[in-house]
Amino acid sequence: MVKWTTTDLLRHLQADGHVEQRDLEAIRTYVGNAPSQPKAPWYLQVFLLFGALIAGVLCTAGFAAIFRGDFTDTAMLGFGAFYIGVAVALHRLTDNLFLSHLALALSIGGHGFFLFGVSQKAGHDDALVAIFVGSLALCAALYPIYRTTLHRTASCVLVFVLAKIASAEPGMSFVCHILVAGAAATSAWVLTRSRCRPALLPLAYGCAIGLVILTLPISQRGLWFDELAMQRPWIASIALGIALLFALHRAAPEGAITQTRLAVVVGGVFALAALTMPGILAALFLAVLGHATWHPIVAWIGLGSLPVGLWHYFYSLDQTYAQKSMTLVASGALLLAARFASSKTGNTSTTSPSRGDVT
Amino acid sequence: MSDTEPAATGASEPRLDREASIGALRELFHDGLISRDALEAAGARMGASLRWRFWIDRVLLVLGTALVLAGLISFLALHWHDLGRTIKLGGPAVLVVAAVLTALWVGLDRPVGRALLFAGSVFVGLFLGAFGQVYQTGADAWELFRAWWLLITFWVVASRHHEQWLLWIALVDVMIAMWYEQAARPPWIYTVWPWVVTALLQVAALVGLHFGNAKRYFVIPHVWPRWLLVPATLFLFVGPLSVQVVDKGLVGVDVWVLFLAYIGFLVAGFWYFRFHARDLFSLTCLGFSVVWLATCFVFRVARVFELRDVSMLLFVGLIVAAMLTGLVAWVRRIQKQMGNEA
Repeated sequence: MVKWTTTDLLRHLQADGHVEQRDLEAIRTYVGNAPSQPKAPWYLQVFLLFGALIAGVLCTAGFAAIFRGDFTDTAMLGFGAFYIGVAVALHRLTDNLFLSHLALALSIGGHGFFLFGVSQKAGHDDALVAIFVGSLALCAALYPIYRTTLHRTASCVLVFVLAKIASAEPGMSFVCHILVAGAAATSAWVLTRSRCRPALLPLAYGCAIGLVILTLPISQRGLWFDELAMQRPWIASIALGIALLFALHRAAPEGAITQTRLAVVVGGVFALAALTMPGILAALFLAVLGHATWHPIVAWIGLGSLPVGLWHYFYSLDQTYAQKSMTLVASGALLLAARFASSKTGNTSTTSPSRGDVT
Repeated sequence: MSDTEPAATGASEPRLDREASIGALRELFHDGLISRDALEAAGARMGASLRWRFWIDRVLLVLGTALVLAGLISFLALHWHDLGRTIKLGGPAVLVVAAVLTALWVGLDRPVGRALLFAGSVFVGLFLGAFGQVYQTGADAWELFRAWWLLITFWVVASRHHEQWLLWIALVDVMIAMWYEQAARPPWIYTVWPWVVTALLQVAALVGLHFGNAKRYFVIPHVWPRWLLVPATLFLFVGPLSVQVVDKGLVGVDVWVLFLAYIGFLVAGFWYFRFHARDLFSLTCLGFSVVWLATCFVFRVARVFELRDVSMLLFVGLIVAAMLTGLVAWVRRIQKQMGNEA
């Protein structure tokens, strides 16, 4: 294998017409202006969010204790908004690392105050729906101004978490279906663009995680939560079936789509949708979309959530335990047979991908 | 120099004149600097393509094996009372023999062979469970895990694959946990000695992983087991230490041994992951464990000095934010150093 430097490779790509002169200039300017620091890895962001959550909760509890809980709902809203305002100001006005982490913690605390104030104002019956709407408003307001991938992604995920919690409320079931379809469409739209827009990537990641959250099979059977299983799951299944077909179409190499293959794939997706298990469809959609669009994080979110969807399917089958165990064996055998058939029709490498391979 | 070539001097030189990697190009794509077409063309030139068939193959194999195993185990468990003694014992035994022999026939260097051998290891546990039920041996669960662990040791060693070793280590961990719950007597009970032993076992596994990869003992050397073992090891160190620090402080020989072993692991781990393995994920885990334990220590200090309510919560919150800053700055500096060393 030829070893290229990035410069050599870009020059060859330009000669082939894949990279334009202005792209090269943009890369040169970007690399020249950017600090020589590479991007923070995803796991550092996760640790950072976890730590900021602890710090935010502690600081918020500390401030709440100052007032000994004597907050009116309006005061809470105002205090939360002020808290978030301070966080945004710190984030925008300083490059200091400590202050930026403090800003994240303050923003988390401010969200807590604000949403608690919203719930108090809405009253007991409408509290969950009001919190969801409040989080949506905060996400929409802060996304353009709090410009970090971590804050944007976390803010989007919070909306989906609160939608899931509120999903048992009257009318929210329909909203959840709209959110599922919207999240699938948004992540597909952002990730399949011919040129990435970095500002939109956190939205796509948030929507991908949100899809998994919304389709999580949380029910009263054996779990501690209230009944949060999706009502009328066939609606989300249809939406995600269409999304999966789109992702498969996007992933198919040129000239690979024949009449027979099209029929098999559409039939397969239709059969999956007929199971009315949106979790399985969401997982497959994300796995295919992430892999096809060079976004391994999205692909791993999908693959990671697939076992949950499958578990839920077998768990909720209306069969005796004996029939279920045989269904499990038959399903496994079917997958192994499909693998055997697949390996007979092409060269399947038995070794791991080389370092250069993707995901 | 061509006018299309990025500047050969200045800040952009080191990054653009390094050997191209698909990760670096993907980063340019995610930053919106090159188009998808360009990324795919670069991938094709570098031999880095989207290997659909490889991944479909792996997903089908793993899911198919998992479903068949789950189905067989459920079937035996559900029909336990209806089955004769021969079937109860013979069924799992036949499954063990069939899985292992088929694995050997297929070849352990192939994914199917590895999956079958893994299934064989699981069926041994099934067989032992059946044996205990049929003959009512009165053995505790930890003894079952001990027998399971011992019986599969031979082919785990012979298989030379990571997943078999991880199953083996998991069985030992479960065995120790169950022994502590069911059979531990003084001086082991009410101490953290079992945690010490289990944590040191994970450390030994990490050392074994290093030499197994370096000496080509493992058929395909991989580092991914490290990304499971390091967090598990740190959990085993930091979990009991956190409770001790917040609750009583470092009191007792066992707690001090655990603490010193943790410090030793931190020092050795830093050296190994920083200078030898160059593993930023493991270094980040080490750093976060220190932040976590330090937070517990701050809580302890706040309790000792009877700082309550406002002062304590705000104080600890700000300390956590400061420690996070230190962690991030440290990890980013190491990341940069590693990048420059590459």
